[in-house]
Amino acid sequence: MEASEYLRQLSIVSRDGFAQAIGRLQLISNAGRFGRVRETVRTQLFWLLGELVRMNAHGVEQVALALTRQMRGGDVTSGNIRLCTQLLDFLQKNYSWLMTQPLLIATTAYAFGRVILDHTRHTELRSNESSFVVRLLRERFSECAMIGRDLIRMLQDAARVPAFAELWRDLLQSPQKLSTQLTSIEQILRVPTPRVFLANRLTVEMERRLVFILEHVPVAGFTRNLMWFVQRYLSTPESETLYSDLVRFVVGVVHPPNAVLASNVVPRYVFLGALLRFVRSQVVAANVKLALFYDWLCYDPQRDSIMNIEPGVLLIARSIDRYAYLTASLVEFLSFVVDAYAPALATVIHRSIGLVMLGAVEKGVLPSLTPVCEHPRIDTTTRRQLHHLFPQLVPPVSDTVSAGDSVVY
Amino acid sequence: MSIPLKPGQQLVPITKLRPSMRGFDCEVIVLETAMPTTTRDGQTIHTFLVADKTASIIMNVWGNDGKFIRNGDIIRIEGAEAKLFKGFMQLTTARFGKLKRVGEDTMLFRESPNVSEMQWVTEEESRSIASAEDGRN
Repeated sequence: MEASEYLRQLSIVSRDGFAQAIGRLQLISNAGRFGRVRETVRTQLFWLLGELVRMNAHGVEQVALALTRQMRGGDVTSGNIRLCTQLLDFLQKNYSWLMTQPLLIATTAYAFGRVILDHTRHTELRSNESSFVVRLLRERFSECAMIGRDLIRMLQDAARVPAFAELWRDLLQSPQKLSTQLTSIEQILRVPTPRVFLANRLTVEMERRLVFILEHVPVAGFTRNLMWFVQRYLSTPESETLYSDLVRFVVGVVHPPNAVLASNVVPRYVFLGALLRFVRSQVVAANVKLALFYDWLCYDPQRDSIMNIEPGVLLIARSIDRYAYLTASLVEFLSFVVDAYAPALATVIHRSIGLVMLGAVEKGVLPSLTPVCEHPRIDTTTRRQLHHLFPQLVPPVSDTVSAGDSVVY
Repeated sequence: MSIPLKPGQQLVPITKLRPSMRGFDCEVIVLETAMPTTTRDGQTIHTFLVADKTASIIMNVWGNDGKFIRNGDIIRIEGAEAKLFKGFMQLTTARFGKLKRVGEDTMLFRESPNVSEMQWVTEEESRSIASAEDGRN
């Protein structure tokens, strides 16, 4: 009861519409060490937020946005689960207020859609979360569409959860049910995801460490930093869902300036290649590769940044000497994705992947694909796949070569 | 770093350390941790490889403090001491020294040279080594 008394006094004193108070709350909810805030304090925080919403204070959505970010992906410790539950509870209680905040709608839909994957063991929370996200998507699809292509990636992963299955089917078969302006899934895949959403899936602390590695640490000694990062955030089996979000972050958000690119700081593709080697399960590896190439599927030279496709291009081209198997597996994955990702869009995706490589060669990301396809450690199958993917850049494999390859004495 | 230095406090880089220096302050990042050892009178010693932006060195922490140090921690030592141990230099906290964790991971460092791998000799020894080498030449 004391709390409400304090709040009453605060509202008497406050002359700025709680701007100062909310500023303090923002400081807490943006803190790198938010995880160490005590349970009781956090409960109070959500209570206070609810009251502030009731009093129509401005800027509460900023605090809520920061809090969605503090839900750590791939973390099922009790503290994080509590945070998800509390935040979900807060949003459901203030649903009508939430409906007035377009950015918050999209952000919560994406954030909860991603963390659902971690909550396989928490059935109640999971069913609450999924019905909440499905409701948001069904009622406010036009707002959620601003997430862009990562919305599809999120839904595709979440489609395993029963609540999403129907939504996913509708999206594929009768998109008009969701939004009258929506004609096909391709329309969303064409929109590059704004950086805020990609950044949302990493906590402030994770981002700080990751950006530090990618902007300051020289390539010679970055393995230690990477090890620490992996030990801190990716050591449990549940944390595997975080890999693809990490890759999306590195690809889409961390765009080092030219001064860094020219220095000896670890390049993004080297970092991603090293990160890939920590992935143990096949399923996660496929998800990570998809995350890496996700901007390739519906690449539009006018709207997409070359920086988003650069890591993938370089990972294929420069791994060839030391990790030829990596190049081969990436090429194999790409040629699989072309046909299997969305059969209805196969031609679009095929053309777009070709465009990516052409664009990369044109803009000088790499001089040509010739060193890759003529490398001795690339076998005929991979070379065929390369030609199939990038017909303009890779000559067809002549029969004489393949005949020679198949006859081994 | 986010935690400011005290007024007038100066950090000594690892390459500037000399045997028998004491009472100085420095800031290092922990790279590796070794199994703790116990001395004859029951004291535990935790041993780490630490580095700053100039070099790396072996650090010994006496007593229970070492239990709380993990790889990647950035540690500020007040009242540190550089000692020779079997001819090699190591960093320890003096009796009244203080350890404080001021951050994690985000510090640039250089692993080589490792100052603890350098052989330290007395002046006389060095003279005799030099003359021996001269004799050989």
